[in-house]
Amino acid sequence: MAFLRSPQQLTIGTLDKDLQLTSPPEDSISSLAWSPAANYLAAASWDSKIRVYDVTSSNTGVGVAAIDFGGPVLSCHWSGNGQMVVGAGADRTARILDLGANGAPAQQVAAHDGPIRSVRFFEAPNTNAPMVVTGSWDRTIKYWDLRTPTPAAQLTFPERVYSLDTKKKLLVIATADRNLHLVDLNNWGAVWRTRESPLKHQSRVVTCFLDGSGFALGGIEGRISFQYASDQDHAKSYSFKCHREEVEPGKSVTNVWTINDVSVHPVHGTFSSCGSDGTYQFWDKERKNRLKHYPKVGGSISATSFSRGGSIFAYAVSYDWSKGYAHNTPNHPNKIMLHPVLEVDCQPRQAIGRR
Amino acid sequence: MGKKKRGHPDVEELLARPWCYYCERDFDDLKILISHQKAKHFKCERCGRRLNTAGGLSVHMNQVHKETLASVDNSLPNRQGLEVEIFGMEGIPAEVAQAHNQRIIAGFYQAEAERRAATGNPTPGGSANPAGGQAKKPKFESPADLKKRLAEHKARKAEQAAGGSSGGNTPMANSPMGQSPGAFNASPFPPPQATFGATQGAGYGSFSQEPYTQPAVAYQQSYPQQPPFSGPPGAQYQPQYSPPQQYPASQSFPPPGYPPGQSFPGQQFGAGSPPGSFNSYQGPPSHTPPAHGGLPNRPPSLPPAPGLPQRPSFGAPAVPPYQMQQLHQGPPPHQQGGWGGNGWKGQDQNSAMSSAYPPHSQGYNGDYSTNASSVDDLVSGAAREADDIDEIIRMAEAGIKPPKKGEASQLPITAPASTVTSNAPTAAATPTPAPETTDTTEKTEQGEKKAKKEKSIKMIYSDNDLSPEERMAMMPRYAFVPEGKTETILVDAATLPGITGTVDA
Repeated sequence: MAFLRSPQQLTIGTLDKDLQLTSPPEDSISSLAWSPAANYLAAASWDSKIRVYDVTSSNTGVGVAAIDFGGPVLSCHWSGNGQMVVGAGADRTARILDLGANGAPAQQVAAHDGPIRSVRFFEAPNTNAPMVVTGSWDRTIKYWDLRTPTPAAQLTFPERVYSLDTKKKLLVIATADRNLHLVDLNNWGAVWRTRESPLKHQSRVVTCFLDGSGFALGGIEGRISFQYASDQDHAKSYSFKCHREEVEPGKSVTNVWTINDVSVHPVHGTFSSCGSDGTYQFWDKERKNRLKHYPKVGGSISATSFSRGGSIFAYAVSYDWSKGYAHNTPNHPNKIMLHPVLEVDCQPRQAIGRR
Repeated sequence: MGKKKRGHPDVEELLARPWCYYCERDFDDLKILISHQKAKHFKCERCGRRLNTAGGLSVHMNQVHKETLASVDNSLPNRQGLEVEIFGMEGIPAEVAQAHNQRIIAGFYQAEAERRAATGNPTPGGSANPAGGQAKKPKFESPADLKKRLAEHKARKAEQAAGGSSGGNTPMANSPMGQSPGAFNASPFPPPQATFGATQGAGYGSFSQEPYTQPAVAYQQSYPQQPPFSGPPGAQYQPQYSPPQQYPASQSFPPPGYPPGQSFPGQQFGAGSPPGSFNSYQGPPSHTPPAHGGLPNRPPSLPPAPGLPQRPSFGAPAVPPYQMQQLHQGPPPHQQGGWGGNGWKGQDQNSAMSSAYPPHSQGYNGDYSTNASSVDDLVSGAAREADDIDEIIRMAEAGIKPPKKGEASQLPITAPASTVTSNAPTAAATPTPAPETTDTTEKTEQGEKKAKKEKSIKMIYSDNDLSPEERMAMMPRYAFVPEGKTETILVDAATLPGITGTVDA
């Protein structure tokens, strides 16, 4: 027989350089966000806090700030200048902490009728002033000018908002009825397009491409779709299966895990995905390739984020409820890991000429 | 082996043809086989490069595309592994090659038997069957002759049950049966035969139609897909048993879910149903019906003598089943007496014979003319069914040949092995925190387009109506109680539509 090299050697990465963040939150982590200005990491957690860590001075991070909420925090994000952190959660508010304000407490900037699932900073089209958009299970999204307690505008949807993301002028909202709503932020008062999700199951996370030309959509059924926003490019959209596990090779049962988060590399535009199977993988959407995948980390990964230069990939290992309350045991790890990203792991592949 | 037939290759030639390990197709030439493998199995999807082996393709994928190769493309599900290193005909494991050869042999003889039965030509060397032509010629036998044959058959069965060799009376004794397996690869055959003998002794003591019984028993066994019945061995039964038997076996080879037993009688022989009704009345194992079909008589190796006169009566299926039942349940006294006179012990397994009798007895009492017309109809019906069966068998064979993925759906009888369950467990009920994990086989629709038709998908989180965060948020420890309200979030209908059970579209 000819020699058979293990095919795993080249595309599977190692976890041994991953560092654990010190003093992680005490409960499941729902969201991670890196500051675009420095290596500060914000972690939103079900223990009703957002914690901000400084990872520049120490490899394993030092806690520098926290925001208290009235309920579990479901989402967090940084402003474009890295000065402010916003978080939102089940207490139906969004709060902002201004890191330059020398210890002033967090301000509430938003209110909804239901838990807020997603919050993002964006820049108002004309003034470039920072604004916040929040999406909630009360089926609305609201735009907030940080100075006034009433929303600048509001959009209502037929169903609960499960995820939203914005980049440049694109705002994407995924709702519970498997619809995707695209909003042009130049005309934020109206939904520009509504499309049905290509995934047959519940949408879980949307993440915009770096250039705002489209977004990645992850669902509960082990599938990710890369969607282009414009109508011409929409034909290039495609979906693929991932985060699935054959229980035994050749057996007929495949475990299909949920995709919990999709993150974009801020430099290369390649993507990461993480799932309830406890693995994370890097993808190149142009070449339709998986760049790298990593072995199971010992628990489901609930959130990920790339640092501003793309050098650190943070992922949170905590229970994401994929298997119900029965599996929410104290034994499940609850930690944030920092993975140093090798350039070669996350670079888009060169095009390969045909023979 | 006699002279070669025009247009039909010989067994040895068939065995000599090179065939592809991965997809079980055979080719005229080794070169063609190799180029087929390069094009279908060893071709890189990314860049179109054709490699020489699966291992080579795997290395290429790793080095050039930094991807892993999990299985061989376009191959049968049980042949997808990368461990065997196949090039052309080299590297095929010995047992696989042997199984393949057996399949070829069995298929060859089976096809030959069918052809012979279809054309009605005498078997090479003359048939030992004095009754001559099979499904095409109506045969009439006086009731006395019938009874005589019955008695002979019973005697034979008794002997066989006792382990003795078949009597010399009827040429259809076990000897041909015993010989034919011997002619083929003997290894798989004895065990099934042994079981037949045993079962026969047990349940079918007075059964007049041994050939039918045995296939029936085998057929039953084939259902649970015992080891002898994996696809290739299923084919091994063919030479012994009627083509319809092969048909079920080969059917069970791809989709096990297919219930041949139920549709066969309807398709192949109307005869199936009335005997079936008999059987249900009596209570013996239910799979005998297919065995009783008139068509089982087709294999020339099975002396149809006793069966022959009955075949026209098997057309009897055209007779309404209730009538048949009537005959057995509460037959008119004279019939009963008549049968009793034959010394028949039980009515079980007499289905075949019994079905023969009512028309005959009526004819016996009355006129043959009415019987003639009805028999004509029945026979032509049987002939029609024969053509159908041929067709089905060819389709079955064709269905097996093409790559399994996706083409298995060609078989009109393919039944998805797993049922399609609805997607969304109801969230309308109380929001139990535990999401249901269901086997969704909607994936099998997509799976049929790929090679994983039998895979079932187990979604770890399959609740389409509630996100995991909503489930978590419902837990009391996370419940958010806005200030000023005493009710917990669980009761707050506005926040959690899932609880109210309404999900707005």
